[in-house]
Amino acid sequence: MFEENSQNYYEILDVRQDATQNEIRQAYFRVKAAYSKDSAALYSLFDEQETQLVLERVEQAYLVLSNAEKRKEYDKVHGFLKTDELPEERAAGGSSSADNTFSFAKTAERLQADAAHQAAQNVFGGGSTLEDDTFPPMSGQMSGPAGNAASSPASGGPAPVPSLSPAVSAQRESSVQQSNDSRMFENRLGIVRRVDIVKTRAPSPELEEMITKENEFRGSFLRRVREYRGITLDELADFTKISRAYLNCLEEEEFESLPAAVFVHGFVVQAAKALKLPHEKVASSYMDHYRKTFLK
Amino acid sequence: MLTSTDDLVTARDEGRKTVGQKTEGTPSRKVKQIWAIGGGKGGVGKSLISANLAIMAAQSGHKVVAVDLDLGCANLHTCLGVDIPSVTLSDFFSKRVTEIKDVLLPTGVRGLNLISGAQDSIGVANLKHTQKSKLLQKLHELDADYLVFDLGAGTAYNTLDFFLNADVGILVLLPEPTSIENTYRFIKSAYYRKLKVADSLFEIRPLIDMAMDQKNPLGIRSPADLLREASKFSPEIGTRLREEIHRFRPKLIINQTRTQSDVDIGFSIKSVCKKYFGIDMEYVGYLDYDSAVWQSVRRKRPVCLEFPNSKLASHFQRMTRHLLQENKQASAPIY
Repeated sequence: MFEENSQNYYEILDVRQDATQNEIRQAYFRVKAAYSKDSAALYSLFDEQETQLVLERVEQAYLVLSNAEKRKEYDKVHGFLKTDELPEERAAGGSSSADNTFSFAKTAERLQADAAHQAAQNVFGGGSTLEDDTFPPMSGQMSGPAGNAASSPASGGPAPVPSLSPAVSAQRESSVQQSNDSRMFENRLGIVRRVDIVKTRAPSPELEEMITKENEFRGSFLRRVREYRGITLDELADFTKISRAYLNCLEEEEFESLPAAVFVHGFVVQAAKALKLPHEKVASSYMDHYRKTFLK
Repeated sequence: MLTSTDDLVTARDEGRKTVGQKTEGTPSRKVKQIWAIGGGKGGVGKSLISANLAIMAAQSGHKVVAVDLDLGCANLHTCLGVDIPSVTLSDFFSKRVTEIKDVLLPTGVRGLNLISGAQDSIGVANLKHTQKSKLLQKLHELDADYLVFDLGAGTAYNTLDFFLNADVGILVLLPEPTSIENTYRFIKSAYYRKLKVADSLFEIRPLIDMAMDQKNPLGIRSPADLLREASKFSPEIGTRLREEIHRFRPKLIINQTRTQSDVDIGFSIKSVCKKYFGIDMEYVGYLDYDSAVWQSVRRKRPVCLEFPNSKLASHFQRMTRHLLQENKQASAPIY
């Protein structure tokens, strides 16, 4: 890799140093997609080992930059911070807690997702099958080259091509390739999502019973179920759009490395849904433990 | 027959800088900006894209000349709807005409002229260095705002030199492994070719030569290895190498996209090139697979003129606007 040892975390994710949390998140997914196992962009340039190295550095970078406090610390150490405020804090008009920082970015993200959903509803009269999700779909974030000017990392001028609007992408339908994977479906927005990542495997009645009877759902239990279901951490990350690092922290119960409680709750719900666990029960129990051990 | 290294040495000694370097400094240059459309793999749509970008630029009110530099395989005239060119580059090379402006052909689009590579003599693809230098010099002296070079496929030195001579180098590829691999090969070739002709890297020219051979004894397999070895030689050379690399900033257009992931591959390629080559590429845009293309090619008419209200035409318009806008903003060449 070109100058791998001298690249800072912003360079690894290919974002500007003043990128917002939303931009960092988008960049993270973008870079991960570029280095995923089936990425055509790697062909003839990077081998598996080099790709793995890149992915590890990307995870490292995201773990720090996605956490407001850790990012501030990192910026101070590397001489990036001119003031004590992060970009969102400056935009919000003054210093605020990490929670508020995330809420601001999250609200903007949510509004964007809601707007896209509403647009789809308007076009398709409720026929849209965007899943009810806490987090917006990745493909929607990566709409069109250069997306919108705010999310275009490290490129100089204005975006030349507008984002892929639902109406425009609907025209793709007829010529879009259909995946042979029966677990994929393509909704009318041209966004391909996996609906089911639980692989077929000989069922273990004992584990099924344990899931039904279990009342206290902890990180280790999530890991056991995930492994039983034959799902790797990467697959779960890819499906839920939650970073691999955060999922690992959920399973290891490294609460200090996770963002605000509202996000942790969302992560647990998404992970539980993906693992075919009763998500409300799991989230409630997990968050009880979280509050008892971490928030007090 | 001169080797490529001899060509470069000759060019340097004669004080000519038309091989691998721009001539924006020369007083006789009139052209504002040169766009070169290349890409390595054949059949990806270079001629189509050259033709339609040229049309859009002319329709925006500029004086444009589209030049078919796919010597031996000229197609640009067909894409522009110019059936049988009466004069071509071969007339210029054979000195049947003395001035380059004598081979300019009207295209029916106001402000757009064509220099065709058709009716070519056998062997025109093997252009000698002196012919190439003279051609580039004369092209720069044309009375035009923009030149659009339609390049051939492959990584022949002539193709690389035309690409590097331009102010804006645009790579066109399909979202397929074969095309992607060829694009990387093209980038690698152009990259090393550019480093090899840079005056500031004269001392490490043998090292760069070695890097171009994958099985060299120093184990230089990638640009990162080259930078490491150059920096060992001297940190100052390492810095100069970084600067030259930074100047190489080709742009990217993905053609025949069918799905969102086809569109997204542009970002992935940009990211991978940054990590592997250390270069900043700009993802200018994408063009959806569209049956309007094969229909207009069959009719031998430009797609933007045959289907002016198509989504394709609007994408071309947007990309052209962006390129024109960038030229306005930049005071120095982009790469």
